[in-house]
This record gives sequence, C-alpha cells and structure tokens, in this order.
Amino acid sequence: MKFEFQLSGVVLDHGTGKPLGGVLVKAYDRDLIYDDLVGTCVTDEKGSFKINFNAKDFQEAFDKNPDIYLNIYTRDGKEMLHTSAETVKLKQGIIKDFIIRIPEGKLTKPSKEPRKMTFALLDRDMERIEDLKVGMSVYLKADGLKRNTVYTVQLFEEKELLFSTDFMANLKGGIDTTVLWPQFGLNDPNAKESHTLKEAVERWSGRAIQLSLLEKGGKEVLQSTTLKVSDRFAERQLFVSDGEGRLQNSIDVKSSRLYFTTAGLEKSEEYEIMLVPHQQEWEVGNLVQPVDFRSGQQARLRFELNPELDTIQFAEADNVFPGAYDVIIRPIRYGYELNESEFITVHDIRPERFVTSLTVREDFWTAKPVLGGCVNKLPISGRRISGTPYFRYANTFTLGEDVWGALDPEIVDPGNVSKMCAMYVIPSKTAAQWNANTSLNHLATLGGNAAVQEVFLQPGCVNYNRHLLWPGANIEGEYDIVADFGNNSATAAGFVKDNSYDTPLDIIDGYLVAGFRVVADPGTMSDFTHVGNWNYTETTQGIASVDDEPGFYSNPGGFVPVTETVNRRAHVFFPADAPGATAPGQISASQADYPCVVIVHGNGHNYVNYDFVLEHLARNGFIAASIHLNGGMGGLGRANMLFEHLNILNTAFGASMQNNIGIMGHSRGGEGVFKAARLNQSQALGHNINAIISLGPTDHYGREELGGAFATPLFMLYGSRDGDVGGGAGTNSTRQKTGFALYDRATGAEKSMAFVYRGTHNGFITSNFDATTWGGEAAADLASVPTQQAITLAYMNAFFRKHQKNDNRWDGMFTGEWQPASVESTGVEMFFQYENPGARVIDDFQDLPNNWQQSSIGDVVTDNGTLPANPEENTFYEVAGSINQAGLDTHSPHDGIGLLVRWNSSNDELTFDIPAADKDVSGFKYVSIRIAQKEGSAFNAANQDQELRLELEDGSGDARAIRTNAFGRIPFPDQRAQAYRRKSAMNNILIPLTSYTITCAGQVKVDLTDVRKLSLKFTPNQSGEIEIDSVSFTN
Amino acid sequence: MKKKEFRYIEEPTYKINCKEVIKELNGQSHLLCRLSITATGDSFIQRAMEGVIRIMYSKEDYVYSWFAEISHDGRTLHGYFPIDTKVSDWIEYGYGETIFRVIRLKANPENAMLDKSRLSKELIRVTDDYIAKVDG
Repeated sequence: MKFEFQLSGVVLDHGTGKPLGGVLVKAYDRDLIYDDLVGTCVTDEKGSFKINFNAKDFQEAFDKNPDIYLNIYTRDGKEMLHTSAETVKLKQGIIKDFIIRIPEGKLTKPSKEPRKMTFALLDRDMERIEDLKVGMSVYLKADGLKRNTVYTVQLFEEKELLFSTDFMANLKGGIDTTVLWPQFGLNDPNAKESHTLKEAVERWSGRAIQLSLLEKGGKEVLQSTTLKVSDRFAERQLFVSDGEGRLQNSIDVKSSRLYFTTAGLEKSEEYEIMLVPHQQEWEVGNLVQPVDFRSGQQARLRFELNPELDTIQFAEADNVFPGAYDVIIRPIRYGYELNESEFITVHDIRPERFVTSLTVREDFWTAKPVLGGCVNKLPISGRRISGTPYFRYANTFTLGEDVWGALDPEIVDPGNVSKMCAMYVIPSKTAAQWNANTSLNHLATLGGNAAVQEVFLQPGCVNYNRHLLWPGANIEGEYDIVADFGNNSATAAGFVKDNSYDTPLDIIDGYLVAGFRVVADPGTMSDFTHVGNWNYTETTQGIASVDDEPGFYSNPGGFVPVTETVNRRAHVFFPADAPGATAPGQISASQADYPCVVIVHGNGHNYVNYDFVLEHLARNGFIAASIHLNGGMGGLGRANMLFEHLNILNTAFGASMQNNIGIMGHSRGGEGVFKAARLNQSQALGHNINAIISLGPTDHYGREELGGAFATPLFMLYGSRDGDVGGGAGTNSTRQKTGFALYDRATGAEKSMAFVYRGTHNGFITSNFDATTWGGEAAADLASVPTQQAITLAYMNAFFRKHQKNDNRWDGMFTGEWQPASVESTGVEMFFQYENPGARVIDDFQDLPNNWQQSSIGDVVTDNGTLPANPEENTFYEVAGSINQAGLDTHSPHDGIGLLVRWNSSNDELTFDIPAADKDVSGFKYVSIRIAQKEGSAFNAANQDQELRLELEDGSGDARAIRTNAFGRIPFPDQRAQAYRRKSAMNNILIPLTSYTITCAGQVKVDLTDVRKLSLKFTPNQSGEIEIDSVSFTN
Repeated sequence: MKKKEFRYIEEPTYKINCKEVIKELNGQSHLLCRLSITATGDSFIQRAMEGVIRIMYSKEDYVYSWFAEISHDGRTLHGYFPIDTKVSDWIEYGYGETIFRVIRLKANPENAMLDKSRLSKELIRVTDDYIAKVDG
C-alpha cells in the first residue's frame, strides 16, 4: 500500500550515543486548535522507526501539508521522554529522516546528587569481610556505576591473576549482591583438585588476595581491595564432599556414595540432616520439605557428629533423584519442639546464599535432549523473584524486565569448568539459520560483540554463575543465549572468544526452540488508559422469560423445558478516552468499533464478581459484560440469557460494537456457552461467536459436542483441586463429568485446555472455599487466589485477542510452550492439551473393534516383543463392577478411547509404522502425543515426572530420538486430598520437528519427507505406566 | 425410578497425640504439655478467633489450652497445657468460646513425658500457678 507521507528516523541515547530500541514514537500534526496523531511506531533494536500516513489522517480545512513533531515515550506509553523541539513541514512523496537524541536525564529518574561508586565484598550475613576464611562464600555488591555497562572484576593472589569475570550494571547503576567466589579456598582456580578444609587452610593461610574493578576493556582500576586469608576456616560449614572431605558439589547418579562434611557446628548430642529442593536463599521461617529418596524413605536422617570437623556418609548416590538440592542441618536438642519444625529455625545451619549444596546429575549422555547427540541445550535465562525460591529459570519476560542468566557448569564438558566463556544474547535463529551459519552477534542494544560479558565458569553449581544479561529488556522478540568458550584457554588471561556457536564445546539456551522471549504480558498490558463502566438493571432493561432445563440429564434433549423469569442486569466495561465514562455513547473514539466479550456465571456465583476481568478486557479494547442469572438455572437458561443481553448490548453500543463475540462461561455457565454456540447456529441467531472460554464447567445437561457447523475456538481452564465440579472415580456414569470430557468431544476448531495444579473451582475469580469446604483441602495446599486470577487475566485476554483481534503474539501460551511472566513468576504448574484441526493423526485409538496392533491411520503398531504385557486399547474411563463397560482407568477424566502401556525396562518400546502415503511430514511443525501417568500405578515412581523419547526413523534407516522432558512434562498426578478425585489427566507433549533435522554432533538428521516409523522409547526410566492418545503430526 | 449409584463422603477422623515438649517463648525455654489433634478429611482454618482445645473430665470439669497453634498445612491443631495435665478420652476443639467438634476416644491417650534428668535446670516449668502469674 502506498502512503502519501512518510517519515523515518532513529532514536539515540544522547549520553552514550547508543540506539534506543523499544521506545514508542508518536508523530503529530500541529494545528491551530487540536493536534492530530498521524501515526505511532516502536523502535527496533537499532533504534529505527518508520511512520507512514495519508492526508485523511490529519487534513483539516486549510491544511495540505502536515507540520510534524515527534513525541517519544516509554514503551507502555505512560511516560514521555522527549519531544522534538520544532515542527517539520512534510511534503508528499518525500521521506523525511529524523535523528532524535534523548537527553541522559530523561532515561532514568535523576537522583539528587551523583552516586558515589562503592564496591564491597560481603560474607553470608551480608557484612563486610575483614579477612577471608577458608570455606566462606564471598559476595560482591557495587553501586554508583554506569548503568547498562559491563565491568570486569579481577582476582589476584600475590599479583598473579587467579581469574576474572564480568558483570553488567543494572538500570540503577548497581551490581546486585552476587556470588563472586563460592566456598572460598576449597577449590583452587589453578589446581585440578579441590581441597579438604585442612589442606585449604594450609594452602591459603596468610596469602593476600587482591580484587580490582575495571570498566570492561578499560585499563584504569576503578576500585580495589586486598584481603588476607585467616589461618582458621569459617564456622558453621556444611558441604557435600567425597569420603575424605574434599568439596564435591555435584555428583553423578553413578557415583557410589554421598558424603557431607561439617565444621564449626554448635554442640549437640545429635544432628538431623535434611535434603531439600534447592532455592536461592534461605531465611528463618522458610518452609522445609525434605525430598524422598528413590527407596521412598524421606531424606531426613539423624547422626552423631564431631561438631568441630566431621565427614559422614549420608546416602547411596543412586538413591537420590537427579536434581538440585540444599542441605539443612538441625542440631537436635532433647525435648525441643523446634526439632519437628517445618520451618527454618535460627538454630538450623542453612546453605550459603545462592549456593546450591548438591547437584545430582544424570549420566552426561542420558541428559542430552537428543539421544546420543551432543547439543548442550539447557535453560540459562531466569528471573529473580521475591519469596521462595528467590530465583527461577524462565523463558518469558515482560517488556522492561531484567533478564538474568545462570550457567550450569555440570552440563558442559568437565574440562571446561573453571574456564572463561563469553555470554552472548542474540536474536533467536531457526534451525535452517543455525545449520547455515553459527556466527554470534550480540544484541546492538547491549553494545554488540565488543560488550559481551566474559565470565569465569565457577565449578560446582549453576547458582554460582548467575549474571544480569539484559537490564530492562525493552524489545519484543525471541532470543537465544550462547556461552562461547572460544579458544578454550586454560588460563583466564589467555581467553579469546570466537563469536561462534561450536558444539559440543559451547552451551546454548535455544537452538531447538527459542531460548527466551520478551513480550508484552497479556495479564498486565493495556491499550487504553481509561475505561468506562455502565451498569444496568431491570429498571431500564426489563425482565426476560427464557427456556431452561429443570435439572441434570444424560441424553441430549432428554428434558422438558421450564420457563425461567430473570431480571436483566449486567455490569459492562468499555474503552474510554477520559475517566468517568458511564454510558455506551462515551466509548472511546480512537477506534470505529470494538469486539465484545460476555461472561456467563455459574450457580451460586454473582455477576458482580467478574469486574476485575471486565476492566482488564476493556483496557485491552473490548466491550466486556457480565450478566446476571438466577440461582438454580441450568445450562440452557444461561445460554438463552446470553442472547437476551447481546441484544441489549447491540442496541446500546450500536455501530461501536462489532458482531465479533467472545463468551466466557463459569461452572454451569461453562457448559451453557457450549449450548449457546449450538443454539446460535441452529436458530440462525446471527451472532459471530468467535471464541469460547469455559472455566470449571459442568457436563451435566445432556452431552454437548462443540463442532460441526458451530465449531468454535475453545480454551478450557480447570483446577486440579476443583471442589465443586471435581469429578471422581466410582460414579455410575459413562464418564467423569468435568471440563476434560467437554474438551475431548470438541472438534473442528483449534482448542486448548489448561489443567492448573492446585487450582480450584472459584479461585480463578473469588476464593478457594469450594476446595476447603467440599474438597477436604487445606488452604495452604492450594494455589493462591492472586495466582489463579493472574492466570485468568493473562489467558483470557490473550485468547480473546487472538481470536477476535488476530493478535497472535501469545500462541505459545496455548500450546503450553511458555507462560507469560505474570503467571510464570508465581511458580504455578499448568499442563496443557492442544489440538489444531488439520493434524495428521497416526493413532487416536478410536477405531473399533479395539485392536492396539492396528493404528487408526491403517498401519501396524508393534512393541517388537519388548513390553511385559500387551498394551490395552479401550475406553479411558472405567467404573469397576458397575453397569458400565470396563475401561482403562477409574481415575481417567477423559471421554474417549485410548491406550494403556506399561513397561519394565528402559529397552522397551512401542512403534507405529507410517504408511508410505503419509510419510511426508515436512509440512508440519510438531510431533505430538497426549499422555498421562496412570494414577495409583505402582510402576510410576511416587511424585516424579515420567519421561520417554520420541524417535522418528526415515526410509534410509536414519533415526533420532528426542527426550520428551526437553519440551514438556509428564507429571505425577496431583495428589488432592480426596483420593477418588485424583486424575490420570493427559497433557500434550509437542516436539518441534526441527529437533530431528538440526545439526547435532554425533547424530544423523531425519528426512522429514520420508518418515516411516514413530517410536516411543521407554528410556531412561526403568518402569512406568501411561495412558496415551492422539499420536500425530500437527501445526 | 431408575437406580443410581452414590458415593459416601467419608466422615473426618481425628488422631490425638499428647506429649511434653520444650517450647521457646519470648526467648526462654518452657516445658509444656502439648495435645495435638490431626485431622483427616478436615482442616483447621486460620481465622480471627483463637483456636482452643478442651480436655473434658465431665460436663462441668475440664481444662482448656493456654494457647493453641495450627500447623502450616492446616491439618493439626496443637493445644498447650500446663505440665502434669491429665488427658482424658473426651477432647473438644473450637475457636474463641465456641466448640466446633467433640471427639470421643476409645481410651485415654498416653501422655509421653520427657526424662527430667536430661532437662536443663534453667527450663521454665509451666504450671497453673505460672500461667496465672503470667496472665495476671
């Protein structure tokens, strides 16, 4: 499309000259009375912008050529940074170029006086270190630095360089407290072995350690300090060691034993040692939950110890599941209640800040996402969070959020530990791009390759290696992080980066999928500053009479309608241009019209409780309404009242309201919206219902099947601890009547379901009382209401924006690939099912008679004689000893047919042959499987994820197997209080097909045009029992 | 009318445990008798009113906890009593001055005592007199 007027330019930081990506540029035409906004643009990573417009966007009576000025804002538009000094007259057909320089003071809040540079070395209690003691961890903190600038810290022993490492100053010009040298002296940068405490004291006692701070690439030492090493080791020490007391923070599961060394403890007759999941910091009052050994015993044991110095064997290494742990020691005092405390007490010896006591690694090769191949893909990006666990790996960040990286030394070639590497943040590359070119280009907004942080890879654990990578990330996009070991120099001084990703030496967060993304958060974003609120009642809108169902029934149509008389009441929110808008006529004029969302509540609910959702949707450009329904109404009556209110809204908003409807139903309303879609079509009511969200629905009024002529995109949201519509084993129905069944029966349009662990029926809106009152749950065991509400806001906004505004920025949320930051930061566990029409289904087990050896695509399924028993293909839900058919599982909430598979060796497998006519899967994006652990099965390790590998083999015999847990989880069923309601709930694992074609050292590539076999390889776990469905290739 | 199968929701059950414990209060170690009620199928809610446990000897004769605490997971209510409190088979709990539930046991639960020879002399032994002095 050709525009009459064009302008472009670049926005720079006046102080540094660096381009400013991610700022909002608004162009105005200055007029006599009101200036016209002619266009807006967000600068890219090079600070560039382009705005094109036509005469109709500004023209008034005598205005042929616009007088343009530019205002520059922060990305969210809330704060103006700068306005261009003069207007510029634009002429048609001529592109005007602007260079905008933002003064330094505009980009940060100016402080009253310049901050002095400070640089402190601190101990675990955050006190300045006077002298160094062996075993203490040394922390660094600095202030008064130049923001967004990389600094180098060098450590010398008697003037000889031990190591150096880089840190990025944050937006306030500080380096937050970070580990500089964990467990000082126990490891030696110049020695290959670690020392015992006594050896370390001998080695370091009396030595002078000098630290210097420089700007990266600079020669001037900005700050320095020298500390002497004491002849005593630090008190209250506890670390994992070998049998001789040598520091050993990580062990392989194939190691023989797990030892702890302690020193300087307070005297006690007995000590309790607990192995707990790792968290960044431990404070008095934090909850302590010891893990279980593989044997099932709790990792909580008592010992008699020599409080001065002792080494004890805690466990056999192979009795501990792989993972990151901390160790807590509790002195046991006879009779004291605190011995049983579930919380950290002042007497407990807890780990150093940020320091993981123990990492139990899997076998180096088993841990790889590609079986037998060496791609060092692992999570690096993460965020700091308030509250436990204080730091969490993350792959989604909100615009403006700090991106941290924590590098795990345990996944690299062991020869690379205690070496230097350079940490690149680059735009994410596709598989084709990586295969073509492995060069690395650090983001220009971070200073380009010259400013890449060069860091020393501390041995022991990932949390010694945490660095701020991108302060205030302000450019939307997908990115990878690469740790480049360059020339692999044995000394810090000799390190040279090579700007290239080289497997297997270098580490990457990315490659198979994007490492992390920066996106606007749909849970917190807004397009409109102001919203209007119009509430109406029967006083103005009258009373409706609608058909309803008199009660629950099983067969469609199996009821006699009753008439329900309902007051027409609703709360309505809409975008506005100014505060105080209370009438539909005051809807914002910035758009011609707006899509509409209507919320249909459930029984026992109140329509006024959804205002927080309505307001958020209105800020995102929707007319959003919540309608009143009488207590006791069924699903049909709720659907009919929805139509009544759509008529009211259409009349009230007129041309400002699009015939573009989204509906959200909760509980009985959640089933009612399915009926609404069906009735809208069958009665030709003419509403364009483009999106349906169903929250904790009933499945009690007939048997709704969304699909066919009224197929509609669907998002189902359901809590695992729903105390109202909780389902449950043992009823006599053909299915557990929850949202799972409604989801399973929906066809013909894209659908997604989020199963929220510890979520409840009402916690997504108001409170968790359903779970505590009817579900037997303790409040502390549930996801908090703010957490569930965060899910509500983010997912509902993203879903409606996707299907009503074609805004596809958040597609990955609904496949379960990532969560927005507002949800991810809560730590909530969510498991997704996802289906897109047009998938190539290899087997969905729906063919009858049930025959597991014949797939629904018409080819052979075999276990090659490996499985201990034949897989069983049958209806998912079983009611043992009742009037209904036998099925696979009394705990399955699914409505349909699937496969139950059990294995007892990591050599077991199940293979689906693919017919020649279907061998070309290159047009698809993923291989997908729906999968669940069977609840109550003795073949699944308690409270542990299951995993396996999906292998594709082509016609040449080239095969590659990808680990499922590289892309999703197969979680242990949520153990809610009422055991009969625990569910074998399936979720999708989606593996990108590029995983099978991207270059991977030691592995062949699979020809996706000629795929002949899809196999489930039941490795690495020795046993398991799972239910599967929907084995397919999909987009 | 067609038959339909129904499921019974199980009644909550309660376990009683009684023992002497040393508890740190205001920085000092106190010896107390602790009676704990652990619920299955029920939970103890944190609310404005304080929890309370009563040990009943008869309808008119009872003792009640000096104070009570609810465990983190809401499953257990701990009531703290003076040492040498006799336990009975009739236990009640509630909030404020309202009794929510009466628990009748088949036998008196045991009160597990600590070995006094292993206790510090500085330990404060909480008795009725001590409580009266502290509470004023």
